[in-house]
Amino acid sequence: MAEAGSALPARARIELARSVNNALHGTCPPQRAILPSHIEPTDTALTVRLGGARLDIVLSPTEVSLSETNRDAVALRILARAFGTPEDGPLEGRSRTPLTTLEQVRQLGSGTIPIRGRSSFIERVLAGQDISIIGPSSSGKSISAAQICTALSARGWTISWIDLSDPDRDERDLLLAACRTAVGPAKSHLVVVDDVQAGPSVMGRLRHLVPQLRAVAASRVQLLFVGWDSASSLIESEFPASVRVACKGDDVLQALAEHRGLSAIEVDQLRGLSKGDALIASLAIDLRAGLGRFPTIEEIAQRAVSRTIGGEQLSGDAVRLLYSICASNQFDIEVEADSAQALSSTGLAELLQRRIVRRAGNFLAVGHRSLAAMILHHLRRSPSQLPPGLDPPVRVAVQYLRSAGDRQILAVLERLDLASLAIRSEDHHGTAFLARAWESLRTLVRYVAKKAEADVTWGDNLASAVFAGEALAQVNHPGWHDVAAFVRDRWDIPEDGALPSPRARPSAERADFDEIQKRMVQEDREFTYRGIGDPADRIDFNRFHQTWTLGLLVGFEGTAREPSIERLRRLRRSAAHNQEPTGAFYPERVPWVTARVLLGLAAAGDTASNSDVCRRACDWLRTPSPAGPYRFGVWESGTGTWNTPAMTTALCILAMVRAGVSPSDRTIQAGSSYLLNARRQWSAPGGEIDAVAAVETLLAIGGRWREFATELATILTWSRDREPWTRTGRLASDSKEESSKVPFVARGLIEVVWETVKSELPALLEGIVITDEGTTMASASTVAPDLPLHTFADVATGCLQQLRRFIEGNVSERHLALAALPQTGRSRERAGAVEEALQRWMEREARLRKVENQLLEYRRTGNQDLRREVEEATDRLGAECLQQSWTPLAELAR
Amino acid sequence: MKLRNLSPAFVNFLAGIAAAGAVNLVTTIPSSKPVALHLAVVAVAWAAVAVSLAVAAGQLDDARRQADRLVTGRMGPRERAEIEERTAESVRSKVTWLLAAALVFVAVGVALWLALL
Repeated sequence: MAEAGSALPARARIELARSVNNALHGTCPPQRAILPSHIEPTDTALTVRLGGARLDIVLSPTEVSLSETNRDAVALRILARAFGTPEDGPLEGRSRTPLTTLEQVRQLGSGTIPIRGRSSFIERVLAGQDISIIGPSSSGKSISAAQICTALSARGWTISWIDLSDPDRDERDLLLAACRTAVGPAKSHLVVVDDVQAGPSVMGRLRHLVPQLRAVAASRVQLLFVGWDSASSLIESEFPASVRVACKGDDVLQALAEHRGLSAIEVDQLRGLSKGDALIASLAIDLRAGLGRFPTIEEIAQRAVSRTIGGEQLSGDAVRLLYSICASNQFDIEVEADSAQALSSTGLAELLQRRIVRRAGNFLAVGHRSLAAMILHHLRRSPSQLPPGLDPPVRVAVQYLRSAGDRQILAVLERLDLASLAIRSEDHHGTAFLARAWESLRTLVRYVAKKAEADVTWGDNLASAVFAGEALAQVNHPGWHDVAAFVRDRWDIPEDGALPSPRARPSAERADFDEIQKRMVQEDREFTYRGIGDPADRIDFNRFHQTWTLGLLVGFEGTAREPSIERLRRLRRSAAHNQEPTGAFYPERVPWVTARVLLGLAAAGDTASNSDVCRRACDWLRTPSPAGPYRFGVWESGTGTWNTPAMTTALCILAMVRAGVSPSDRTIQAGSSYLLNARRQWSAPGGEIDAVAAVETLLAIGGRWREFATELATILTWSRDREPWTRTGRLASDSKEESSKVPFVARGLIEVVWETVKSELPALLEGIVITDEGTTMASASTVAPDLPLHTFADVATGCLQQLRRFIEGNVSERHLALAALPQTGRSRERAGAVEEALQRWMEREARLRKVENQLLEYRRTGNQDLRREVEEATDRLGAECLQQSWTPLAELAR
Repeated sequence: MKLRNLSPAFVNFLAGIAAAGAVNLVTTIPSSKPVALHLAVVAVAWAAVAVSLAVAAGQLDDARRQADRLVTGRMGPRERAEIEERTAESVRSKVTWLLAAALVFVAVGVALWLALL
């Protein structure tokens, strides 16, 4: 810990202690606080007394300066340290209290009919058991939890409600709640953790925090978890003693039906109408009383809308804004008030004033997602109300999400019920596959995080730690900080531009280079290496290792959650100093080292256009043999059987593309042709490193993930198997493969899946909306007699992109062949088969371009004649290119 | 015969036969010095045949590899044939000279051996 306490003058320490004590207790006297605690200044530090324990805490300079402006944050830090929780994350921004207050909980639960069996939950809580309420969306979980809270509050319990779907919420809010929520002389505290599935990492940390809290708190602390079905295994693993209760919409439906005296037949009708959605069931029953029959979906929507909006017409601005908010809310995406304000301040004022939209902190929502979907359905069916030129709802939601950033996208994906999408039998647009890939990604992230938690050094293997850290940084996982601490501490980066060097002793992946040496020696012995550079016996393998590590470290800082500017500066300097005159990095013989350094620099924002180092490295990689490493579309590894040509080619291409070289560059086109043709080799079992590198590269140069769905599925299955994870850290001399293979593959997979999911957000959200089972109003609104404009256009776009890849591949293969073939007089008499084929493919490329332009025009105008032309031309082209494998557009879009 | 149909493996096989013949001759050198010298010359001729054929096989192999690199699964049979032919063309003169040299050395070797008899 920093020795800053001694730097505090005595008076400042007294002031600080007083302010922190006030923050802990608020307006409550110490004896009424949930956590009896007191802070005393001593000569050098602050002493915290918690319950019967005493802990001395020394504040860092940051905390000292922050205590002037943000006492709550400092109080949290002190308590976090006292309870041993991680101290990552910014200090600021924790003083707001968006925790659901008891009043809001009461409103949530009021007016609802008691659900059968809920009294037994209360008995269990009173008996000291933790409860978890699990069920699908709109099945009455939150209502049940609210009813329990209301009942317990009436018995004098203190209630705290933490919603993990809010990206800013975590276990430290529990501490804040414990410190500040003191309602009466409560002896018992119920903590509701809502949307559990959205915060698996928080659940892990809660598991450590809660027993400590229970040991020191004066009051009893019970937990009530609320989450989707997919959260049950998470709760079971972190809190196995909690009692699981399944919540079905049917329970709410039954309670409503009994209350209203419905017959069995009517209950069945209601069940068919609502499909387990408690909100729809509740509205349907209300309407039935007036209509004398069960209402249609449209009537339910009308009712929901009239209840929300009221009779008075909304202004055009307000309707437009409401449409945008509902488009996002139907996916549980809360819209930031600032964004809404920018869209229309008058519209927002009107919606807030009429209480159609509610504000929670800086976010806006109309209410439950089903309500949002119903309002949207109503607006779309009433074109007179809707201003012209509005984008489809999914597009609005996606645009908002993309502008909100990765964090918001992650939070939304955690909340969406992708599990039900993943098990769908039909998968027209690949959304089920994407959903499965996303679920696999979550599992993979958990594997990596758990492994990092068990051993943050990954067996003292810097490469594994770097790849794991990059994987965790991709998804904004807090475990990244521990890995970063190890990576930054393990290797020194000199100021003078020398290569990075390990502290004390080389890290474990150095042993891989002994194996590399053996393979290079063997390659030299067999005379199979005909490239450039030194023979193996003249290569300095320590320098080789250090140069490769330079690439790893600069890539790590470039992708870091909190990059170190100083380290980046030194690493760039080291790269500039250690680049060979040719543009390569040592050793020249091994192009994948140059590719690794180039990848790292590209991750840090350097490209061929703004960095001489990158430009020279790209130029060298493209230099053909014998002067350079490039040869007929292939980059040989230079290290014998360590790294295949496919892997090396993929890495070199990826590095150049990331550094800004155009994917249409001749060498990259030739290389991608090689990768596509070598597909069978790199997709074979045991070739996971090659496969993930090849897929990542081919996607980076514009490939469609659908073309590689099979390979992705295979690698995902492999990575989810426990067996490879037990082999992490084994030396290459034992395993005969790279010691950091598993984290390397995991990092690549997470990158590929995450980028694919982000780019396919429209398809994913559309897939959620159009469900096989269960009905939401959104699904009713998007099922139309004719295929909606954007759906046909999206399907056609996907097909055309697939055709483009195919045609471009054919063109480039023939270009390559013609460029490489020798021109001899005799054979030119009969020459022309390749040229003729090239002409044919170029003509197809021209036709493809024409269809793409027509499609763009169709998107803009919706002209049906154009649509027919696009469909016919695409099918004609597809049949010519792919013959039997081509599925007509009309069938795909059905 | 089209050069692209000439198998490098077959030419290598012939080179092996020639080399084996040369080794056989060398190992049977008698004590008489003039005969030994004669036999050594014959062996050298056969060794030269082996070397010529081996180099020719190497050239043919290189041509085939280049064709393999350029031919892809999406090319038709005419394109494949053209690529194989053109790559073979690039080594035609070298291979022809080497095969011719081999024939010459075979003739020399046979003539010398018959002279010995």
